Amino acid sequence: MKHLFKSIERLLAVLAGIALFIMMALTFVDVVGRYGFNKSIFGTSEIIELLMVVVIFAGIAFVTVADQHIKVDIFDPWIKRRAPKLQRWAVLVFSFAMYGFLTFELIRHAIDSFQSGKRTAVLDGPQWLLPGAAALFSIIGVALFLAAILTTRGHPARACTTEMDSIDSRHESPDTPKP
Amino acid sequence: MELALYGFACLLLLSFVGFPLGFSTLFVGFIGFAFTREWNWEGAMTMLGQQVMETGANYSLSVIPLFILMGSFIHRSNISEDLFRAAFAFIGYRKGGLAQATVLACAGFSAVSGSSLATAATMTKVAMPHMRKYGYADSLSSGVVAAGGTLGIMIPPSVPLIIYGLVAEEDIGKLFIAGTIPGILLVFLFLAAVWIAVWRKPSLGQPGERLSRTERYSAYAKVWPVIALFGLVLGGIYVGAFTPTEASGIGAFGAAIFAFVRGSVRSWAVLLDILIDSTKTSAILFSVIFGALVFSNFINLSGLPYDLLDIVDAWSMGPLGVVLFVCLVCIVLGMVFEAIGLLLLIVPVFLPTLQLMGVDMIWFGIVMVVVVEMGLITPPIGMNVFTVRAVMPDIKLGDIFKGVTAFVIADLVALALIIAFPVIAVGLVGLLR
Repeated sequence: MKHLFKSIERLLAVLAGIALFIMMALTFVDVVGRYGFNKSIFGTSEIIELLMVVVIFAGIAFVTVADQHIKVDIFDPWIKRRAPKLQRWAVLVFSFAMYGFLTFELIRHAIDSFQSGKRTAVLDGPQWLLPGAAALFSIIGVALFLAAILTTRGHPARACTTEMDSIDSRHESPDTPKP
Repeated sequence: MELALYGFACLLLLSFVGFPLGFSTLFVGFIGFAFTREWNWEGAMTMLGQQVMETGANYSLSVIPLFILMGSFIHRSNISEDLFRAAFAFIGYRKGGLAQATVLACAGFSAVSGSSLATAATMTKVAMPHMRKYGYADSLSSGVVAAGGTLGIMIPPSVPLIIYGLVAEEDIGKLFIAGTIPGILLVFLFLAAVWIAVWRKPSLGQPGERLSRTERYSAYAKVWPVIALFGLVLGGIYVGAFTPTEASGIGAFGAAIFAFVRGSVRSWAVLLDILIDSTKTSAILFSVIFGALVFSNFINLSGLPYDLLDIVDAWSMGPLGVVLFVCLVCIVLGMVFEAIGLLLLIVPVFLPTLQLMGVDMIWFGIVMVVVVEMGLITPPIGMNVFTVRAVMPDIKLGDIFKGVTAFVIADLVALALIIAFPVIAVGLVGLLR
């Protein structure tokens, strides 16, 4: 079971990485096509919006599982000296509840969008695809997070496969040295 | 107004207990929004879903992951040593020249990598051994690396400026243009801070050896592709050839080519690692952005902006007084909060009031970025200082904080100049567009 969760988590990370690569290539080719050949790629902005959903929501899924969100840790030593378990579990339960709630709302949003039957302006694709993809990644993220909490007894980061110390640099966060 | 203050107090409490900033802001913003609408949960939930989807699937915001990707490629290209060598060739032979070369190298590296912490960590490894070799005082050399890393926050392309633009709904291209002169001003002030320190006490920084003309040109030649890429990205935005989103795609692609040519990306595994790294960082940022935007909706609905306006009128503070007050609050909170978190917490609270008062929001964005930049090197939580200390454990924390004092003063001078002469920030915007 552990292997399955790790594989899914890795798959999410790879999928998000590939989506980012396509986003970069698409933007570049679009600009070169426009200036060099007077031709743009049709519907670039809508394709990039979908890729953004993959990058951001799949990304949030494995960042949450790895417990890598930005935190203010100024009082950490003080709290951890007094109630380390209580603090850890409070943070985990809160994070799980909030992530679960956000996922619930994304599912509702996707269902509403599906029922409305609306289509996108340029590519004429189904509009529910964006919230649908966001909801799907979030559902997977919530399931992985719960599994990681339970299997590691409150140390979800230990269940992660992706090299967490390599996320060093781009954001100015105390616990993840902007990058 | 009380409601917003209670909300802010709850947010601080949750953050200090160690709850993730993104989820804390989302929670307080959501509950606060529902409360102000007389416990209208349905409305609050709809707002939450729409806000998150509109932000997470926004074409214009692809600028954030793409600039982050550009920085990751540059970071992996091991350009830091070459940048330092080029800066050393340019200025290293003067008194205090190695420290000044470090300022220039830090400015270049942090601007293209977009990360002040990565810059501090990398340049500590690159520049500190050279400065020690020439007998530089540890306080000056560690201070210059810690402070130099912060320069990239202002010099475009800057992620904090993009995030400010998102929250304040300001044109990111204009913010980049506005950040250019203040960024250069900060570099000059940091150079001046080194010069003054060495002038007061010459033993702090001995001159380095002067390189021959051939060596100098060879050093410059190694960094020109990065400078050209930087020029292409910013030049494209400045002349209006690309939107910031397109420029980020071009920048990331150019940086990828640069990394491939330098042999820094030799396998699919390395490429995938860079992509996943960038994705993680983007996701972390977006989770905070989601929370900040929901919190911002609550603040707007709470009536705080109008209440603040009444207070400002009653106290006859005027727009400048409010901006100074905001700076003071940010300097104090910046001692505890990290840069982007602080930006996302403070801007939504004061932004509507300042807009109502007719303050130029591009100028205010630059002021805010200078202030949060300062927070990275001020005690007790100066993340860049801690980073330098982590890389060089034999230097005392007190020495590094002593070393950054001159640069904190330089930041304050820059802040005062930008506040006193807004043209420093907004002059170029008016000229070029």
